[in-house]
Amino acid sequence: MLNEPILKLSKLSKQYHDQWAVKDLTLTVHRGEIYGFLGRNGAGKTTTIRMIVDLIKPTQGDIQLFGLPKAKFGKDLFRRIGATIEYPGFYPNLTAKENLYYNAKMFGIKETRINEVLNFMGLREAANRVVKGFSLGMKQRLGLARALLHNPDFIILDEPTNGLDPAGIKEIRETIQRLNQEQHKTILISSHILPEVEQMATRVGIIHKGTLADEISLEEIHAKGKRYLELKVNDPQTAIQLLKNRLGMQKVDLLNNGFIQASGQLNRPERVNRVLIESGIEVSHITLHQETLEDRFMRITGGEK
Amino acid sequence: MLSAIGLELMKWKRSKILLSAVIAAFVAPFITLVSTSLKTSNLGIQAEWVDIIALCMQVNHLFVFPLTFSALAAFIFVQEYQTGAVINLFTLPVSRKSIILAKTITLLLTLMVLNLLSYVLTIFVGKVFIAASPWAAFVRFFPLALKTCFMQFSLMPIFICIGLWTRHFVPPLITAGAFIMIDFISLAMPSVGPFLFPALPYYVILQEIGWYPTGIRGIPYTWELLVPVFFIFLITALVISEKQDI
Repeated sequence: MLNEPILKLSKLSKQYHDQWAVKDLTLTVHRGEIYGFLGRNGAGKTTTIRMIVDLIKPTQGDIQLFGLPKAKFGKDLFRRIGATIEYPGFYPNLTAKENLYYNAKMFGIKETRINEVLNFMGLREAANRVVKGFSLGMKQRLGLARALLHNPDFIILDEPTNGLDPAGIKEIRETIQRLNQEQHKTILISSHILPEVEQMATRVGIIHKGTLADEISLEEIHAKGKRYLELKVNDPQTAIQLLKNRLGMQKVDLLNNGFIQASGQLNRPERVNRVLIESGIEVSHITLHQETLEDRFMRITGGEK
Repeated sequence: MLSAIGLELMKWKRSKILLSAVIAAFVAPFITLVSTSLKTSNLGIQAEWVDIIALCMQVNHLFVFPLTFSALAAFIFVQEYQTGAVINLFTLPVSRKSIILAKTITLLLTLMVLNLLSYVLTIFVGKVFIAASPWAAFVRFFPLALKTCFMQFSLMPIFICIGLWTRHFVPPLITAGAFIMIDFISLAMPSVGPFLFPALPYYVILQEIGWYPTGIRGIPYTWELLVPVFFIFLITALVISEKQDI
C-alpha cells in the first residue's frame, strides 16, 4: 500500500530557550518512498530527525510511526527504524565486525547477518580492520551497514554523503536506490547535495527556519516546475521595458548577477531575441530554463543562484 | 543485562586506557618494593606484612585509585559522547537506564580486577622480604582491600554524573584531582580528616590496621555516608541520561 503513512509529524516543535529550532512542522512520509528532507544549515533538519529517533524530546507536537503514536513502541521502535545521523560514531579500537557485533547482540540478531551487511556495503575486505584507520567514506558505509543490520522497514539518513568525494556520493546514492527498489525500504534522507536528492527522491520537503516551507514530488517539479527565459544583455533596464511593453511579458526580474529572468513567450525565444536586437540591444545569452529542485530550493529559502 | 555487561567489557579490547590502568595498578606495589628495600637494607628494620600492605593500600587510596578509577569511569561513560557513538547507543532497543547500569557494573568489575591485581602484586612484593606464608597475609588483609575498593567504587557515581552532565573527560579528572587534594589535606588535619569523605578509605585502612591515632575524634561514619552518596549520584546519573537531549 503505497500511501500508507510510515512517518507522520504533526505540529512538531522544539524550543531552545526563546528560540524555536523547529516550529509546527507537519509532514508525512509514505511507505516505499524516498523522501528528501532539505534545508539550509540550521534549518532544523537534524533536530527533527533527532526528535523522530527519540534523541531529543519535542517541546510540542506528535510523531506517529507505522500508524501509531511513537510512545506506543517504546524501545522496540528501534527494531523497525535504522538511522545514521550526521557523522556515524564508532568504537575506534574495535574492528568493523566488532562494532556491528555490538549492535547484533543488542538486537538479538544472528552473527551471519554481520557478514551480509558488510558485503552489501562493500566492506568485506575491511571487516577485521579497526575503525580508527577507516576513511570518512568507509565510516559512512559502515554507518549505513549498521543501520541496515536489523533489517528495518524505515531508514533515516541524515547527511549520509557528508565529507564524501564524488565517487563516494555516487556509491551511496546507488546503494540507497537499491535499498528502495530491491528491498522496498522507505527512506527519509536529509542532504545538502540537491542534485543527488533530485536523482533519487520520490518527494521532497523543504524546511526553512524550522517550518515546512514546501513539499512537492519530483514528478510535479518536472511537470509543473516554473519555466522562464534567462537573458544577459548590455542594457538591462531598456530590455526590461521592451520585454514588458512590446512582448507583454508580465514577470520580468533583474537578478543581482545581471541576468534577466522573464516569464512568457516561452515557446518563442527567437522572437524575444529578434525584438531586442532590432531595438539595438546586444544579447549575449538567452536560455529557456526549467526550474530544477535546486532553483526551487534557492527560491524558497531565499538564496541566490 | 549480562549480555550488555559482556558487550561493555568488549569495549576494553585494544584499549590504551585499560592498559594505562593496569600499569597504574603496579605503581603502589613498586613504591612499596623500593621503600621496603631501602628500609630493610639501610635501617636494618625487619619487614612486616602489615607494614607492606598498609603502605601499598595508602598509596593506592590516596592518589592511584582516585585518579585511575575516575579516569576509567569517565572513559566508560563519556567515550560515546566523544566519538559520536552515543547516537547508536541510545537508538538501540535497550533503555538508557539499562545501559547506564550495565556500564556501572562493568566499572565495578574493572575496579575489582585492578584492585585484586594490585593486592596480589603487593603480596608478591612482601614475599621478597618475608619468609612467612604469603597466603595467610593474603587472607588476613583481603577483606580490607575489598572493603576499601567498594568504598572507592561508592564515590564513582559522582564522576559518572559529572561525566554525563559535561559529556567530557576533563571535568571528572579535575574532580579526581580535587579529591586527591582533599586526601592530602586530611593527612595534615587528622582530627577532621575522616569528615572529608574522599579520604574515608584511607582512614578506614589506618583504623583497621591499628594505625589510627588515639586520642582524637574517631571515624564518625563510613557506609552511613557512602551508601547514600552512591545511590543519590547514581539516580542523578540515570535521570541525566534519561532527560538529556543528544
